[in-house]
Amino acid sequence: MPRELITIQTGQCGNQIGMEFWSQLCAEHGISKEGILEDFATEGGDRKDVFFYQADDEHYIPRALLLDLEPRVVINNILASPYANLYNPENIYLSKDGGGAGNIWAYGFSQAEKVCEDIFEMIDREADGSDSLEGFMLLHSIAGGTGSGMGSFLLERLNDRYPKKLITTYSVFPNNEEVSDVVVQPYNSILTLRRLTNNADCVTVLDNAALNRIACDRLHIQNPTFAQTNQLVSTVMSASTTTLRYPGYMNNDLVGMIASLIPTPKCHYLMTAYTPFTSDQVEKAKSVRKTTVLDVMRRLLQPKNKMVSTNPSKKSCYISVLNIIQGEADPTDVHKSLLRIRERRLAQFIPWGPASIQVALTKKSPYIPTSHRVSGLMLANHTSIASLLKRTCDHYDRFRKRGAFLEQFKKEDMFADNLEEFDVAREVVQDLINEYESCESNDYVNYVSFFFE
Amino acid sequence: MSKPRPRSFSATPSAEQTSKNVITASAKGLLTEQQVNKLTAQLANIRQSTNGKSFEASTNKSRVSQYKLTVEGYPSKSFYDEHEFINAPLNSRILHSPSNRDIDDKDLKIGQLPLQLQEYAIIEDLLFVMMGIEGKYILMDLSEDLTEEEQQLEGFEYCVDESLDPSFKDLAKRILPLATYYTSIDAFIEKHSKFEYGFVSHALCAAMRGLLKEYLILITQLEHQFRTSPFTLQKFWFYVHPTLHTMSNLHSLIMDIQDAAQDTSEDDDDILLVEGFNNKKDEIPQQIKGGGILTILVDRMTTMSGDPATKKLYMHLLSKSSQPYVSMLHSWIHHGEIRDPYEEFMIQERKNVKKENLKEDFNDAYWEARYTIRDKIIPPFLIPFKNKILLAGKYLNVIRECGIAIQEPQQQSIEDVVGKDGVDRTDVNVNSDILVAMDGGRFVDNIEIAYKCANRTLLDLLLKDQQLIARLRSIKRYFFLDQSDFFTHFLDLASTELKKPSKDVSLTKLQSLLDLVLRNPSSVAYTDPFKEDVKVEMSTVGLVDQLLRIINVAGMMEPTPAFSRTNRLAESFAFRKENGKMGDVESENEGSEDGAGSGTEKPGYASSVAGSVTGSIVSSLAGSISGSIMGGSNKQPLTGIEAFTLDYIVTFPLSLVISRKALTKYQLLFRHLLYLKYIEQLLCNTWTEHAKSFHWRRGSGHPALEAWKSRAFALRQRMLVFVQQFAYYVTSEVLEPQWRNLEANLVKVSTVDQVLQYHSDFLDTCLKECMLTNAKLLRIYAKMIHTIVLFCLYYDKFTRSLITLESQVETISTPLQMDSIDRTLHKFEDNFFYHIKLLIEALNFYSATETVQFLCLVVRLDYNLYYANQEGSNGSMGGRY
Repeated sequence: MPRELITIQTGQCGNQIGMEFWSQLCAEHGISKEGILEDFATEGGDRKDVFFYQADDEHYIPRALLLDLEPRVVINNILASPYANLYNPENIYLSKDGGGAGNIWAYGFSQAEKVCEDIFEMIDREADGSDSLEGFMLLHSIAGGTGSGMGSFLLERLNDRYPKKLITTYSVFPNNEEVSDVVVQPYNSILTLRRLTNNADCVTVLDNAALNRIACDRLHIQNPTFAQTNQLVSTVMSASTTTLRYPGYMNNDLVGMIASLIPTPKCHYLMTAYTPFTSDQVEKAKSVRKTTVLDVMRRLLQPKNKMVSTNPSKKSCYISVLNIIQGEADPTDVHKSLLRIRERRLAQFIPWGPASIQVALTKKSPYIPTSHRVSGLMLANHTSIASLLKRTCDHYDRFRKRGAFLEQFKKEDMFADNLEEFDVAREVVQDLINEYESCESNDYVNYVSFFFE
Repeated sequence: MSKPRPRSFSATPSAEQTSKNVITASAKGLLTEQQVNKLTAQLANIRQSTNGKSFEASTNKSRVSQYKLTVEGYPSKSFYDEHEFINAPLNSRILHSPSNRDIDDKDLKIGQLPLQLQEYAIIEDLLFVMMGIEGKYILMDLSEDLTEEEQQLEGFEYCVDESLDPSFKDLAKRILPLATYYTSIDAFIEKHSKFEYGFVSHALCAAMRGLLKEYLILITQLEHQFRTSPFTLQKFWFYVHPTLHTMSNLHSLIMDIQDAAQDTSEDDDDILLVEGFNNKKDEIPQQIKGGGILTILVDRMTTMSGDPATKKLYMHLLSKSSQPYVSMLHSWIHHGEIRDPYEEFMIQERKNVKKENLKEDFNDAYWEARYTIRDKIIPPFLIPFKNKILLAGKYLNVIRECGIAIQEPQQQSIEDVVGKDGVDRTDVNVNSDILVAMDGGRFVDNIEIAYKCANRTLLDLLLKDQQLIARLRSIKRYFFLDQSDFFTHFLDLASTELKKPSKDVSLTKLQSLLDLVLRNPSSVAYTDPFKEDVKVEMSTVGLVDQLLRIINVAGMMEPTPAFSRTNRLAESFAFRKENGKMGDVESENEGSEDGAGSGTEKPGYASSVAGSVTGSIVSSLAGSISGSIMGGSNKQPLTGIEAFTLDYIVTFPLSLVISRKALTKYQLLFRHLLYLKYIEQLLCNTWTEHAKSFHWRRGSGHPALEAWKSRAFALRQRMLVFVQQFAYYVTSEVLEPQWRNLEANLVKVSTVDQVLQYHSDFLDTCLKECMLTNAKLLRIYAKMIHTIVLFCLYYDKFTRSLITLESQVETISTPLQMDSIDRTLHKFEDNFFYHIKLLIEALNFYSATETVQFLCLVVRLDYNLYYANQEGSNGSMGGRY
């Protein structure tokens, strides 16, 4: 069947959230940990083939590639978990020397370049196995070495090899507010951001800072573990793909979903919000009582539910919003909610064109009992994402000024001669920030980027 | 009587002599008993001899009197005089022809007789006359201008000999109407017992005949009295007086029936002729048979109900004559059969209306026309139930057509349906007397029970056996694309085929592609048991054209007050004129705009002008754009995607609900949605190109070019927002809520007609709220869609120009030849902007007159009030670079 998506998970973070994502999908589709359809999963109404394919023996196998340069931690964990048999072993790539990228972007990038053949053989095989491939989903973090470096490499190459396929990413941004164990994380981020800006079509930003904040404030978990924040991520990911998996009237393909979210090619960073998080998704989470369509839509617009930490200015506005409402929502409530939100001015929109809150109503998985009637995910293109980018740039600038920790990069050919790569990346990000900021003005229609690579 | 009428009788010498004897006898004063007897015998002789050609009844009578005389030992020669009785007994039935009546016997004057004899003679005469035989002194008053038959039906008038003693004459005149009534009733019975008058008439005649029999018995008894005991005219009057009442009622009933036949036969003709019936002139009008008779009876019964005797009479007649009708009713409501050879029953069947047409013919009216009510001849007591009666039989027929045997409702099932307490009659508004007459009103219960049984059986058949709801759900899936994953795939597979002109498209190929998609086990549709019934079809007319045609025919555009329309029009043109930067397109429209200007002054023409002007503006606009690409206006042959539609195989009895008409509506909605999807896909393809193509995505560094790109992105975004919001509106604010509504209604539905009603309401509301029923909105919408499609088609040209221009960029300040693409883009921008503003205004306007639902669409289309805040004059979006 059509419009398949191939998931590529790279690095420690990518594989961790990937693992959560697949276990979530399996649960929603009634697929056992071994990939066998459960006996109770007969109700149908769902489409498994966007993310899974069936092997000869009726096993459902995720269209997923598990890539890591460092096998010890994550992939071995996966292979030791109950889900070990779910994945196609041919789709797991582990670097032979097993050295890992050492959190250095440049190392990850060059390593990926070396094993490029192997990786693309896997990707091609997956792509050939699908009827009409719609695109790729890359799961990674932009701070580490493998996810950012290898991810960046893949983004560049995928665009060359599959020029018409959509490339979407779920990119985990580092927590800028805390001291990270990865000291070079600003470098890694800025270099990855360049690829994300130029080579990806849609980037779903998942901000570790915001995830931690949500875990603490909303869910009352002190010191959330990675597993817990990853559950948040997997919830968001599975929710954002519900319309693909549970077909409804609209948004049955990825392009239809993101086309309206992303009016101009460059501004393709989406932020998400999800409500309500309950113990169904995250262990030990507090339950939220009332869930009507209006409540859900209102909560989605609240900054505290956003999974990105931004500092919106007064001019910040939504370029576009897509709400995916799951559960038994009455379609007539949507209109009321839209009106209420407009009356109360809960959301500000771009002044240069029509913009609206699109609301897609979808079914909920019949196999996962939930305590709330309705849950909602917001995918939004908001200009305040620029503040996040700015913060990253600030960090980078501070490091760069001092020239700190650059030795590791200079070891690689790419940076051996000069650090131009950094400068270009910085400029690309700055151009993006500028574009986002001009989005807030009335005159954006005539916006001209003077940046020229 | 002014002038004695000529009459026919053959006076014999003996008769003359007898009369002389009588005169002498009377002169002598009192008569002995013997004399009286003799006189009576003589009178009888006179009677027999003078009235030789009288009715059979008279011969009977004379025989009786003869017998009596014989017994008493006074043989009379009168018996021998009556030679005609012996020779030709049936001659007596022959009526007098006027020619025979020319001979007048001036000698015979009753007034010359003594009073007692006068009384005797007149009683004797009356006894004859009351049986329709002309008497000696009481003669028929034949009017010249009526035929005999008519007169007979009216009842013969009789006139009494002028010379009769006034007091006798008075009494006789009082009694005489009986005679008139008798002949009339007799003639009526004779006439209406003919087979073509139908069962009810027969039953009525039978009842009347019964009454006449009693009347004759009365006369016999009177005669007996007359013969055996002292009998006076007064006594006579005393005895017949109650009967007179009955007879007069019967007579006036007959007159009513005659009137009804006369009144209606004229206007009936046209109708029957129009309907193309082979109506012969001599056909019996419906009003005087079957239900018509019952109607007259009931009407009379109700009007006369103040008089207990009359009421009783009519109740008797009604209960008798309604019996055949009730048995017809019974066979209809319990078996669905019409046993009605004489077309008396209130339901008629048209055999030429066949259920097979349901699937094919859009306007087929099987359900409405196969069985219809003959509205004019429903007996009044059935009027409250007429629909139930019609439906009960109709449902049974549907069930039978499905090959299911119909059983008489068993007691058990009756209790199930009706409940133990029986039928609740509180809502029955029928005169209770009538119910009493009609077998205690059991028919009411019967109708109720039969209706409920038939209804429930058919409802069960539809909802359970035929899985109506599941069917509708499946139709919803295919026609409303509520799980449209299969369709995306189908469009992907069939895209090349659907790009061809519709006549070149291979239906077989499309069908196999569709089957392929539907049978794919990973499709959601795979689990649908009815997926085999979906078929591919190509329409010959574009959706908008088809809709406009329907609107024009059906006049669905509601007549809004001319005033507001004129205002509205003026406004829209004001807007249009302000918006005066439409480039070269503008000039083409000047003419039509002027036309509109004059149109606004004539409210009567306003609506048509509004339509045509918008149409012409828009079509010329679009035409000029498309003209530059394809060298033609929008009169292009349809492409596959424009003509593509689905069809669904429905079998009887589901085709009652999902008729061709309903399917056509589904198809209209489907094509509407399909085209929205298609455009969305086109725009998404454009988006993909914008996002993926190097030329669009990467900055060229040239300000003019970059700005132009930004504008193209923005326009594409506007279009996409429009299309998606429109699709959201159609699906989640119209189709889905309406569907839920329908589903909820179908669960609690209790009659089949409710099912039909809910379903057709559902479709109509959907069509209306999708704004497919308003010509003006539709035209604006069509033009917007057209603009978007053109934009997407034009897109290749844009990309090519872009590549050429980019190659020319050397420095930021390189002057570029951007005029042409700049102008084209502007044209698209202006056109789109103009129409969306127009659409929003029109939606706001029509939300007041058509459906408030349009406001939801307005909210969606302009959620952030972008269009609302734009000045109308600012036709081009943003400034020009």
